[in-house]
Amino acid sequence: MTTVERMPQRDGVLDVDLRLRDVDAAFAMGLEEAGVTVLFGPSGAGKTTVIRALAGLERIDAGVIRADGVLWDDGGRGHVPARRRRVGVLFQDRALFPHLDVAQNVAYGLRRMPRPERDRRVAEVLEACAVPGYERRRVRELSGGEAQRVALARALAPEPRLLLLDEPFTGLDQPTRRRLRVELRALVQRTGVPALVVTHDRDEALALGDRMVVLIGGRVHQVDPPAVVFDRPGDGLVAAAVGMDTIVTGRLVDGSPGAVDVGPTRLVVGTPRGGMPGEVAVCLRAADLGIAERGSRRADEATNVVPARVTAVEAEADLLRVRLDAGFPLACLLTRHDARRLPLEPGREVDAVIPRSAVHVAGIAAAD
Amino acid sequence: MDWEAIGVSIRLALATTAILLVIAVPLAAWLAFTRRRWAVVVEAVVALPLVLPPTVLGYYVLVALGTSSPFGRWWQETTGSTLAFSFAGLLVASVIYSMPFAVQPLLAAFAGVDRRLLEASAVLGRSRVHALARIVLPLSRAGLASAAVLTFAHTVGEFGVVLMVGGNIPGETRTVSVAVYDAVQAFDYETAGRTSLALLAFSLVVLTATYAIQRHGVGLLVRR
Repeated sequence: MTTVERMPQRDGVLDVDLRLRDVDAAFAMGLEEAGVTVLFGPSGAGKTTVIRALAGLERIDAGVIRADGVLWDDGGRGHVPARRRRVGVLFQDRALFPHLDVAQNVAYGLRRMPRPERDRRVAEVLEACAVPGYERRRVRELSGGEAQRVALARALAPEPRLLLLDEPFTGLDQPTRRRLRVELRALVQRTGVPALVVTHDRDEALALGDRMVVLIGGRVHQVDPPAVVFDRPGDGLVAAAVGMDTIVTGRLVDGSPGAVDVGPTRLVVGTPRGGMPGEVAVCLRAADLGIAERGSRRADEATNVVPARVTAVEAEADLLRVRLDAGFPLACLLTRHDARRLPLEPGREVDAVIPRSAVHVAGIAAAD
Repeated sequence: MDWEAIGVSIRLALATTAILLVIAVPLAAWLAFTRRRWAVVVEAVVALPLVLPPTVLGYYVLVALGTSSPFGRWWQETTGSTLAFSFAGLLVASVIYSMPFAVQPLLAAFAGVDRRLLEASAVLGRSRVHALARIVLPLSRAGLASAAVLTFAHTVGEFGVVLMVGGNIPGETRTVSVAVYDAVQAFDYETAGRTSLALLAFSLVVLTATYAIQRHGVGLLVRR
């Protein structure tokens, strides 16, 4: 899916097609409508490298970054320095100036602005970022969540045309993360500044993003709304990145795009996907699957029923993860209620109940 | 006691410190933040006075300041006086000789400033000069103080370069160290002793005061 063709210059769009060290990423995002694009991928995928290149903190080796028709970087002579890009950056470690107070931090990027106007702007963005009246606080005294809000206020104060947020919630506890996630989403909508948010957290990607750019191994594998990426990952690597529990290699049955063979087992697919000859990645979410006593369920037009043997049972916080051998390894999440009525000791023979709609067939990821 | 010589020494040390800080701050900032490979060469040149004998350095400065060099001639045509064996010439030599004592503490302090802060400054639309003034220097106060004290102390204590470049003109180039040397040469141990003691006491007071400010009084220097 790396075939996002080189785009001509377009107004109101950030066109990215950059090569920098191990990263070779191409995608585009709108600069005119407020919205959150999530740059999602496992650690080491090159997400921070992309952010740094967009911010102008690093020159690209080759390719092109173009914003609103203006060339930002082409790996050669064409270069707009970071300070002229009007991009707001929220660094992973906040990078607040430790010797300045909150107001001085937030006002840092406000150039040639008369004092009263500057004070008003500072108060305004602090208010918007839910830290009103923090002007005279010292940076050292801020909690993690407050520092994050102040850093966001500092990035927003000079009215950037693009916000880049690098793992904005690192180092915060779970409840704070959840609260800030909601706040951030509302704030981005309100200010109308488009944002690119880097994260490797699936919940964050789903909660924040309007669009999702999936970066794996330095390449863009899929660009889609988060729900689509999670339900229909474009290839096996994306499937793994979004937490598909079972990803096995299968083969589409000749002449019938609606069925796929995984080893000796044939599965019927809910939404047939043609045009993928040969090997495919068959992806299943554990939460979509069920287990029944051997012979108690019959396959019908909505369900595959596959004989399987229990290999392991692992307790999770609220659920039980049952590992099965159905000719291929399969994981299945059960509620304790459902599990109580089933013979789940390792070695027992059962039936795996796999809804057709839960069988997702994706391409094998290009090995480049 | 040679008060005149003490006056020359202090004037020289103050002027050297002032000039060096103006030169060393941008130089150290460039060295700390540049990615150019030949920066190491500049760093080595700056450090040369540490290893060269003062006589060698003095010799080169003397030749460079003399009327046979383009710079010396230009100076003479512009000001009507020669640089060698004058306070101005001594000051030039002194600035070069104490350069590493100003640059190295600053370089160490600047290099210790979190790069992320400079990147934050850049994306907020500010120039490097602005970042130097608002971020780097305030976070390098200890390095600035060290640079100033070391330069001052080193200038007060220099001898070889003074003798080579300045000679021994009372009220002009005759510093305390030269005065002490003269007194000893003339077997005037009493004058030598008194002048030495005065210099010793003065140096100790200056250093103690500076370190005290650095250690306890940083609050005095912090803005608000």
